[in-house]
Amino acid sequence: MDFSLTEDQIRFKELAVEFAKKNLNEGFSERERNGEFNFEGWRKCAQFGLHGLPMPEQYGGLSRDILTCAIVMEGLGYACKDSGLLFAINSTIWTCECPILKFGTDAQKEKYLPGLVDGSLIGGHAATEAGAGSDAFSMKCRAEKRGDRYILNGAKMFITNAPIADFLLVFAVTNKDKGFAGISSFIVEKGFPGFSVGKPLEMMGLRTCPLGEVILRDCEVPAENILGREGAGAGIFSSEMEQERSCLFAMHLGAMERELEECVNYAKIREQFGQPIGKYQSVSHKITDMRMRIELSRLILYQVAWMKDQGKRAPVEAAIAKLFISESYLQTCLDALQIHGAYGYSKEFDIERDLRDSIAGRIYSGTSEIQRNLIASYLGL
Amino acid sequence: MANKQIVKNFIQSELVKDKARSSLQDNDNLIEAGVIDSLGIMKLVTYLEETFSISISDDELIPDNFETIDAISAFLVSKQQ
Repeated sequence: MDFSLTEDQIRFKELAVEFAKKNLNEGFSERERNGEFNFEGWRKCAQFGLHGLPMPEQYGGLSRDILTCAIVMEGLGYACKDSGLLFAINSTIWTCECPILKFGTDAQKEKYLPGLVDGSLIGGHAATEAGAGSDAFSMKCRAEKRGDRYILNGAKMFITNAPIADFLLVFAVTNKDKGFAGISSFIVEKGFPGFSVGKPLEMMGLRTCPLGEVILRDCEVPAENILGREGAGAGIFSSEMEQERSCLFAMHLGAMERELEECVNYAKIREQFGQPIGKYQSVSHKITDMRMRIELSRLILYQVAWMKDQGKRAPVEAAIAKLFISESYLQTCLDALQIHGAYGYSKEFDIERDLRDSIAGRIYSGTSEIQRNLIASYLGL
Repeated sequence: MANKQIVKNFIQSELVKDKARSSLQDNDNLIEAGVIDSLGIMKLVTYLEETFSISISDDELIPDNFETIDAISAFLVSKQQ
């Protein structure tokens, strides 16, 4: 088994690191305090090619395999402090671009993918409701076919990019008697009658990623904007989730690498009781565990990316990756904060922000508990 | 063993939670009965792909193809042609 990266992957990651350091961190602290999205950063990332990493060249993309995408995102996570921006981009790629590419008609692909790839369009994915989080398929938003359009009614909550999105993939019930099999997916543009977005939600972390409520009140969606077939919504959603769990957490891996570097440097410099704190096992063991978590996170992340590149289904592996990497990131942030003491707790350092950002990782893309349920189910429990 | 029976055996042993439930009928609505839920359908799809060497697109996970054992069997035939 060859674990080495290709020259292209190594170089692309280096370029991503250089790009992020040069272009994405200036003014970030203030943006994070104010909860402002970095539109300029979004555009620069699109110009760099991020938004179109896995998309075909036909739509302006770079046609990179999933493993390469993960490696690039790892580099960005290492070098870019703005996790909110990276989250917004990753969400667009894996839960908006990829479903349109995989399930869309040629007309839908032509209409939406070029704009998503060049950054001129911002997309999102709207499934969650106030009463349907982990139990996503208990959603209440309805879509009724009338003539040449669907009429959507309902509300979606905690929708990434909603306040700034040009369109969203909205999941709605088209047949309430079929349970999960009665859900369909629609491409809903912000200009469609009956579509509105509530004010941005203020969250604990990922503060630079806009998040909001979506209200659909007799929202008129042309019939040709259904994604896939009626009743295919659950399959599309599950496909997106597996993709997201496989790839989005690459940026966490990069962030953990950054935290490890900072902790090693700090542990060598900071002296207490006459020696560097890194000489104390209580500190060095924490840093050792960070390194262990990084190596194991990388292995499972790359394995899942490889499986997706082979066209294999990887529901269990993706769940394991998501669960392990997100939990590892949180623990790494907690340990980094502890190692830095009061400085870690201070807003003058980046650690407290990383910690706030990391907590969300246990919730989005399916909570840690849901991942464990999924794994248990595949074990026959 | 006929494909239909293979499918029925898998569903009975792996997806039916109430083991006291009597044998499935070919036209039982598996989704309405809760035998196939959103997680179960993914397990079924993985089993069908591996057992019958077919590829199933995620947008084919619709009631028409998976609602009953008869529907699943018909879907299998269409994928094998």
